[in-house]
Amino acid sequence: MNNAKYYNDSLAHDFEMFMPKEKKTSAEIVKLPENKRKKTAAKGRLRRSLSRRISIVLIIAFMLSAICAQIALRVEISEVNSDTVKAKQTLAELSGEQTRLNVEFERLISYNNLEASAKALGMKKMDKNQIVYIRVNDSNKAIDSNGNILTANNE
Amino acid sequence: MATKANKKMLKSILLIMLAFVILFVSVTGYRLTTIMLINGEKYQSLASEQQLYDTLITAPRGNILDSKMNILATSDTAYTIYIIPNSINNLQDENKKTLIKTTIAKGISEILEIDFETALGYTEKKTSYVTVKKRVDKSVADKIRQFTADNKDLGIARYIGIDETTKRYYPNDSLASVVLGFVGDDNQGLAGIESYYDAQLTGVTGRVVAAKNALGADMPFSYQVVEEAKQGNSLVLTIDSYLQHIAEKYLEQAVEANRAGDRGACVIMDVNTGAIRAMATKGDFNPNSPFTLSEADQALLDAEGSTYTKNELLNKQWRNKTVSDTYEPGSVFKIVTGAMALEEDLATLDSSYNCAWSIVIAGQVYHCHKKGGHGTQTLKEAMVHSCNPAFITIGQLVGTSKFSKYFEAFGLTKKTGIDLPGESISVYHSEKNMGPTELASSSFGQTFNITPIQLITAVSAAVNGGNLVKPYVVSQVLDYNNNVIKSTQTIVKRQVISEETSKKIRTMMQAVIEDGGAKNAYVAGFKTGAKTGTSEKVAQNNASGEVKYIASTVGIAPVDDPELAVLVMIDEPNGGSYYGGAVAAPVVSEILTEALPYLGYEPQYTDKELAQYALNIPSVINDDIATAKNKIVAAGLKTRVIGNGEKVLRQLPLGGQSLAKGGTVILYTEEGATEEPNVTVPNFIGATVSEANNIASAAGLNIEFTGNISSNGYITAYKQSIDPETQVPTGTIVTVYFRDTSAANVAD
Repeated sequence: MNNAKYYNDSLAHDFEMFMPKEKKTSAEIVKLPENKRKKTAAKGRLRRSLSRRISIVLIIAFMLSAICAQIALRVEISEVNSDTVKAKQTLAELSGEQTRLNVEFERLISYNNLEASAKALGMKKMDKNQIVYIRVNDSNKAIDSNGNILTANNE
Repeated sequence: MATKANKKMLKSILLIMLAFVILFVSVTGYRLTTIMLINGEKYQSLASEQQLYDTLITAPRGNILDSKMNILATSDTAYTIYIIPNSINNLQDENKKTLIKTTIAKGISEILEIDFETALGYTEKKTSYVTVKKRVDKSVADKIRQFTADNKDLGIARYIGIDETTKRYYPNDSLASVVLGFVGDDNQGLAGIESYYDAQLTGVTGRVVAAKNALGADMPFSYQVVEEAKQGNSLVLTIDSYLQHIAEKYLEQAVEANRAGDRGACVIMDVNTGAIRAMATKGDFNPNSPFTLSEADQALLDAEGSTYTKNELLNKQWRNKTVSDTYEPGSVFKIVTGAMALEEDLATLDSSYNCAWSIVIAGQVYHCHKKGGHGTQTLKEAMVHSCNPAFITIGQLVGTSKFSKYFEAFGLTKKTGIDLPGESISVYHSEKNMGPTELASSSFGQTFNITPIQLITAVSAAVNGGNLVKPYVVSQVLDYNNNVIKSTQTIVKRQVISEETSKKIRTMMQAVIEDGGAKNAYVAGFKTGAKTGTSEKVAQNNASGEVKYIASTVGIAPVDDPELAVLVMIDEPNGGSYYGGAVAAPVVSEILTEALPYLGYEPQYTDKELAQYALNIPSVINDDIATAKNKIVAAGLKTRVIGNGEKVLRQLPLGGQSLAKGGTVILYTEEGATEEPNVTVPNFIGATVSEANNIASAAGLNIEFTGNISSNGYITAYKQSIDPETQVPTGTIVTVYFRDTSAANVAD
């Protein structure tokens, strides 16, 4: 055996494959009870399969929900954008209409039209005697902390 | 042996593959380099064209506002209607093609008011875009939208389009049209302020860039960049709409009444700052439809054998006469000649000059308008008489050198620099070419040509203390948020004459109104000054043999401390008189009569004026008849009682109004008393003051006198506030305008 071992250790000749295989004695093998082993393996498989399925379902669900959320978000953005565009168009139209009405108003109250309308109504300009001139003190004023009115004259 | 061969083969394959890879990388690298680096821009632009949808957004032009911030010009959204003929012509079904073409032609011809055949012609064109009508209003665009919706089964919407653009609006129509100008189809300024300040008014064009899908359809939410259009700056003018309105109103009346052959012009200028408060030319145009001729011009064009072209007439109506046309100012220029002599101490107001009707200078005979001459007269009197021989003498005293120096100093050799397009240059005798005869004719305002704006600027310098100011029309430039980004400051170019000389000029101009040819420029209640001018259109007269004139008057107010200068010129008056004093001076009076109270000047009537013009009517409502009569008679008026009641229930005219001396106040004493029937307004034109009084009295009307009724000449009515043949209640006041039409008092 020792010789064989010696030969075995030789690098030039590998006779190990020709050596008789050592068999493990049955005493060395720890035998599990058949049922328990099967049950444990089945349980493991089941658990793994379940968790895998759950994971897949969860992933699919997550992906679906993400896609749905994305679609919903897109739809929402599109709707909001569409509303914004419509609102902008309405604003532009209304602003344009406001300008047009302002122009029309300015035209109606132009001096030419006012004078023509006044003439048609038999109105005449104010008479010299109907005009009273009132002089007002138009100099700058300031009120100090004591309530005194200060003008350029009294400083 | 076999292994070795395999290895060799493997090596060869690898080498070939490596060569291919290197070749591929090289070719690809080269192409990428070419595409990205060398032709990068080209491909970028091609990609953009292919993948992006780019639409321009027209920027609205800035507004133009008057000095009180009233809108004179603004922009609003408008629409361009177009069709896509190629899309129709590409249809296979001939019947459908024809049906679509006729449907479109019928629809757009009705909505856009164009000829059916023209509309059909648009659909036949072999192009992808034909503009049918530009700048239509929203209501019209809505009709087009409705039309396409109504023809949905034919898919009309695929062949008709509506583009948004902007349109220029001028709410006051022709008001200040020659100053404002107008814009072209692409909103570019073509005349007036619109043209001169085009860069300021034009905004920055915006754009929308959006992604296109494979079919070329818009994908606005995938990729879209909007660069908003930026509105142009707004301009605040020095023009006051009210002053502009009265200037145009009275100028137009004068142009019509005097049948002006070549329109009329008016400028109102602030003599101290150079700000133009009003600037008018009649006949002008409506900037909302600048390519439409006025009725008068259209008639000229349509007349049999007319030699006019439409373009010629359009250019004429767009022309700002005050800036672009030159004329010989005539006697108005004597203000400048007088200022030269006074400033150089070559004359005083009391220096005397002799006028023996004619004067001979270098063999050339010059006559005075007054046959027999004015005899000996002072400078002030010579100005009042507008005596040509006297001013020729003054001119000779000044001499060519000083005359030319002052001519230049008053700004008459160069453009004023006003911020309006098309300012003309003057034509004058240079010092080198000025002989005694040129000096003589120039001394009374003939044989040289200047623009009205040059003249009013020179007159302003003569009366404002001697400062030559630069005239301007735009006072401020505002940004989109109305923040002031630029303000115009008064530019005093130089002091031409002293304050003392200026005061003397004002004194003389006041005397011209009180005693001279500008009596018709008189304004009751105010001290004003004026000088009239009647110039021959010498160049034209020589060419045609027909004698044509320009009647003009320049007025200043208030004369003691002038704020306004008003220049009125009527080109080729054909209404009887052609004198400045008869034709233009009344217009100055009418304008100042309204302008001065508007600007806050309080009239100070003399007793004579009060007596002549109007008496205050007392209010007698609820008074008994006797008391009412007493009050009214005490006021210098007459009464007429209607009804049998004891108390006055109503009176006409009302208390507080004014009435000429001897006018009648009608007193109604019964509720429902039979009212006096309406009366027909008679024609007062041509009547003297007393004749007009009698006519009014006979018609049962009251009369209010206005204008010049105080001079000693031949005073006649030239205008009335209510048209003849109008039915009005008995006792209504008709304002009648008078002027002196005697040649002796208005000749200049």
